Amino acid sequence: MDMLVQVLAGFQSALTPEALFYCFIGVTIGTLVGVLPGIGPLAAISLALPVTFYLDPTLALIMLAGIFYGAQYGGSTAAILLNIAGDASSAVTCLDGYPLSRQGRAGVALFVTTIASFIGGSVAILALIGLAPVLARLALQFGPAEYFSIMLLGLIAASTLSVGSPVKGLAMVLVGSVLGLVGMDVNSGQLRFTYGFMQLIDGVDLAVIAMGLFGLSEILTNVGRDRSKEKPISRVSLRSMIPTREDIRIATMPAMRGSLLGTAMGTLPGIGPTIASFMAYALEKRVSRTPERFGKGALEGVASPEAANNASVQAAFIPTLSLGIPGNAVMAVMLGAMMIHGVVPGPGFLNDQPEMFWGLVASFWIGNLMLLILNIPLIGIWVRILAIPYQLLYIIIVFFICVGVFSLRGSSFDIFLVLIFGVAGYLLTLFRYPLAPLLLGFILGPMIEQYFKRAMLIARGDITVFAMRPLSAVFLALALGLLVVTVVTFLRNRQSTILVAEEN
Amino acid sequence: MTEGSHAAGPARLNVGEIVAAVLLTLAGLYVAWEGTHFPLGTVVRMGPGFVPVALGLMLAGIGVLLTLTVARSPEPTPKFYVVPVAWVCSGLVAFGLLAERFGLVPATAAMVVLCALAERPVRLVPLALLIIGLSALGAIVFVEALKLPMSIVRW
Repeated sequence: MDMLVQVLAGFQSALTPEALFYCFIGVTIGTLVGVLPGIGPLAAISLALPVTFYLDPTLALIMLAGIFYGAQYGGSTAAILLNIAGDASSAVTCLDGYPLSRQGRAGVALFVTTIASFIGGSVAILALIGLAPVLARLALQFGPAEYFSIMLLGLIAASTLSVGSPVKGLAMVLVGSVLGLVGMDVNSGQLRFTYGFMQLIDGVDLAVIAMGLFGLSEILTNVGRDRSKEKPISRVSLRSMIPTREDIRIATMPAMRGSLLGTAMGTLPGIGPTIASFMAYALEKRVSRTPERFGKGALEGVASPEAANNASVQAAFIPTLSLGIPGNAVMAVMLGAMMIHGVVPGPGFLNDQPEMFWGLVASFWIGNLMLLILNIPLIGIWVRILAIPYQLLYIIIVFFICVGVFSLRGSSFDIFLVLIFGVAGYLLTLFRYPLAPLLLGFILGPMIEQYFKRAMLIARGDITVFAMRPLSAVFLALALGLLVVTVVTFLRNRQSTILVAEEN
Repeated sequence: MTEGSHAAGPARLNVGEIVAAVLLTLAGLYVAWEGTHFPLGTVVRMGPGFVPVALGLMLAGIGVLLTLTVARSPEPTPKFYVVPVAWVCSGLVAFGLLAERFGLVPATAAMVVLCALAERPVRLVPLALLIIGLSALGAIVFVEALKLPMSIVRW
């Protein structure tokens, strides 16, 4: 009963005009970046980060979260119409979405993906409402030792379970942690890696790193490439979106299965929307009586993965909001944004600021509702935006990067830093080093260090404390197991890849 | 022609991947070396040098592991596209150099022109519209409405 009151209070605060406005802005930007190939949700969130410094923390988080889940809706549009995967998670949607589009059924495919995404999002939000308080209560028993171990587990899971080489992922986590060292050491006051620059005393700004690695480097990887193969876009009318009764029958169960799978996957650290949607696709193909239809325009091949990736994105908030442990790079940025706004993520967040927590959760569902409207009646707008030539688009993005970074503290120094991170990110991408683990290491690395020191202080320097406390021991054992499995499979087949995702 | 032939395995040495992995190793060693300038402390009471040394050594270790394993990986060495990348970078440099001293509009104009040179052919009319549009957007939304700490034009 108590919780119901809190949930209702959450809806009350999410339904204020201001909250609705920023939620709308967030999901609109999200859909926009999801639709546009070559700019992902991480880039958009990092671009919006400086603007949110001027907002109330609840509104800021509502908007940033909206960008994240909104992008999952938009991602399917380019995949279905153009066979372009705007991000890795929509690569799966291309497999059957584009064949559907060539059969003249793009409208139905877009309709089904939107509804499936909505179902996925709603299921995950219900899981969030049910699970977060339980987890937060459990986490109240966590001491620094447990936090140290579970964060280490999250970090290792996120870097080794990502797409591509897990060892390169681990390397990037370490690079990110090293970047987290830049600036004044909180314990000794010593300046590390500042090279005499006063601007680096507080460390490198999260927004600067994120904009360099995910904004600028994406542009550098796309600019000046051959674009002669680009296809004209077919128009989508509202009438063409109406599915037949048979379509609905085919897509319903896959959407439900995808939602449940995505929710489960999203809750686990390290498993993002990409893996969730690949697994959902594989599952549908296995349970289907006609697996040969997959790849040739099977509606269940778009319904299930789209439900799964949206569900996993919403479910990723479960560990982030209840435990303060981000499972992926976007959640790490959200965590960073919360800390910038003075909100301490973790079990205390739910217990001390329930109105903010439930307001945020309620806004997720309202945002998903808005996305239904944005993506069905208004689909024509997004199709037209897809036609913006890249020659103009990348300049506009560079402009937002420049102004956003400059506005952090009115200093050109940060622009040059973004340039360095952008070029570094570009080179790392060329050699297939994943960037998301770097960001995760940057945010979690220093936190892990602090928890380690605190645990040592409490245990009076007894290092065995991590193995003696049962929960901590379980987390550490899992982390160690993951590491061993990674290295062994890596050595066995050199280029071990968990998933071979199609890169755009 | 005969000497090197026996070494030719199924795949040739992948120079690009090796260079990347070796650079990573060196970066790790550098971080560790830099860390030794600070007191190390012990695991229980870590000094400011402890974490840099530990992270640097781990990074170097992974770098060595990568160097050994990617040496014959079949991944193609990527193309660098130096020219378009350099144009975009020069656009950011120009914005950085001009924004503080001359304000938003001159910095935006210079940035747009330099960035546009990355994609050929350059079309002048959209370019001019872009400069006007972005300058107006920046001035109205960012400087006036959001009150970002920058001037529109400064002489």
